[in-house]
Amino acid sequence: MTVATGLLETDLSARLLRGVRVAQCVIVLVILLGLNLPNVLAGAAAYRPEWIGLAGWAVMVALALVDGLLVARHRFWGRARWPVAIGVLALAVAMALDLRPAELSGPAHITLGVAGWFWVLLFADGRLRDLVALIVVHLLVVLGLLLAAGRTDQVTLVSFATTAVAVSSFQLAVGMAGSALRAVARGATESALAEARARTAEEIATAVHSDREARYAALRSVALPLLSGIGAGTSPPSDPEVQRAAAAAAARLRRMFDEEGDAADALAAELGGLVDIAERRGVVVRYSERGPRQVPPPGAVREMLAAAGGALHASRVAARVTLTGVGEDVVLGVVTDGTPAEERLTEVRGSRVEGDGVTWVEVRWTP
Amino acid sequence: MDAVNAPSVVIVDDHPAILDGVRAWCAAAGIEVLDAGPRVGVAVTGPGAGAGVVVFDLQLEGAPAYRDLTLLTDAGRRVVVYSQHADSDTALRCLELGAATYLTKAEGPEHLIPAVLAVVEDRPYTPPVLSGAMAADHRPDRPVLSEREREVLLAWFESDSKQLVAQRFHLSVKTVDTYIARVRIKYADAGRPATTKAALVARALQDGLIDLAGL
Repeated sequence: MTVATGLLETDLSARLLRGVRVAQCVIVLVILLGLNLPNVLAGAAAYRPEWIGLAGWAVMVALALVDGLLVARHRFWGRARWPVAIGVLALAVAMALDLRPAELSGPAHITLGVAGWFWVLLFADGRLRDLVALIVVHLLVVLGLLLAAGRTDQVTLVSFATTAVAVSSFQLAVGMAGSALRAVARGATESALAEARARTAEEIATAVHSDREARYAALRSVALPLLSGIGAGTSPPSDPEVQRAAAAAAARLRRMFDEEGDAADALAAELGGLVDIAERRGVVVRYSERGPRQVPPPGAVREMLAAAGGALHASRVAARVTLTGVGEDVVLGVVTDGTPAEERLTEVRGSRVEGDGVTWVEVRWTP
Repeated sequence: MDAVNAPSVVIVDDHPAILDGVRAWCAAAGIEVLDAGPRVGVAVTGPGAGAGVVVFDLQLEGAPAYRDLTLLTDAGRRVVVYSQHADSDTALRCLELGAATYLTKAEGPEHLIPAVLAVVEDRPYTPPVLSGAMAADHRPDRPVLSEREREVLLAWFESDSKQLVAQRFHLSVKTVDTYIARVRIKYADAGRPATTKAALVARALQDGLIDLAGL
């Protein structure tokens, strides 16, 4: 249940977040290829040395492609997130330092706009405030570089502020959208899980109820005639056949009242009940189980138990009961010192050997 | 170490009633009990060291004493494990470790003395519970058994009577015995080698129970 719950949870949020992540990755690639590439080619001269601009751009394209790969594989950056985020900040600062101060607020300064987008990608499953912090730190560093270069004229500052606000607000908006969607995903997962739980509980309850009803119906048809027969005197308790029927009905009643009777191994559980009844009569029963067993269908189990019950009921002093899984087969054997009546078998095969003063009854179910 | 005249045993069991019971059975069968005690030491030193067969309670002080069992089989001792454990895994593991045979305490009255008498001569002895464990063996590395061998093992486990098994499959009791013995030899020939296992196989070859091609 826990494993299934975990899977469902990851599956749902991953599916909901996937669309947003694809969009974010596409935005970044479009900016890098459509906007930054022409700018960096045209403004290569603004960098010292000139190759820095193109090299930085190539690193960012590579990062965006790695993110695309992660999205395709339904994975997040995980533990690599912070080192890569800091790396992007370092790259942005390094490129800004290699830029002529006059170009700091110009189109050649490509990292000013695009760096924030990488943090949006990296923190797709992280906290919004980390994203905000990185964006703010980056802008403050660039502002510091501008001030250090003495570019405090109004035109430069206004141009820087316009770019910063426009780009950053767009990035924050997309980041917040992702964050909101994650909250929605969590809620959706929880309600889906709750619904699944409720549905399962309901189905179990229905199954248990109908199972009980079926068993009560079967009991009514077995126990009621028996009881009314005993009451009316038509079925005297001294009659061995009546005793046998009563023992069988008692075994079924026990199973129904037994909380663990719903367990998978109904055959062993009911067989245990039959052994118990025989032991109460003073019969020494040796019971052994061997090997892993398949679960025979209810009809086969009923016939096997009827055969075992009959043989045990016929026992006077001692009986040997074995339940074995051999290959695919389930084999139930009873050796009794009495002479049990022959059972009619349709769903299982039976064999009967008499000798040595005992009768050996075997019933075998083959899938 | 071999019993030249009367077969001799040493009993390792920590339950006084079991010790007395096994002593009484041995006395009635003319088997000499050289020593008895609650620890494996009685079989290794003192008079017990010369016993032909070790009757060994697997459940000494709680956990199954597989290490003591290995100690005995590595020394070439013939060990009859006599345990209250009735599960297959324990029985098959003891065979794997080189025990000559495995009996549950419930099988003691009928099978312990015949087991000791067989084992002292390196002849296989497979009581019903061990037979059931072999028939239902699902382990991937189990020896390959023929359909008939498996059916005979299962029937012996179910009925605890070779007479009934013989009757059911229209065989002689001797043939039933041969089937059961052959399976035991297949188990002796599988897995970890041990001198006790080799002795069992050698004796079976001598007795014509199996031939080399059958292994």
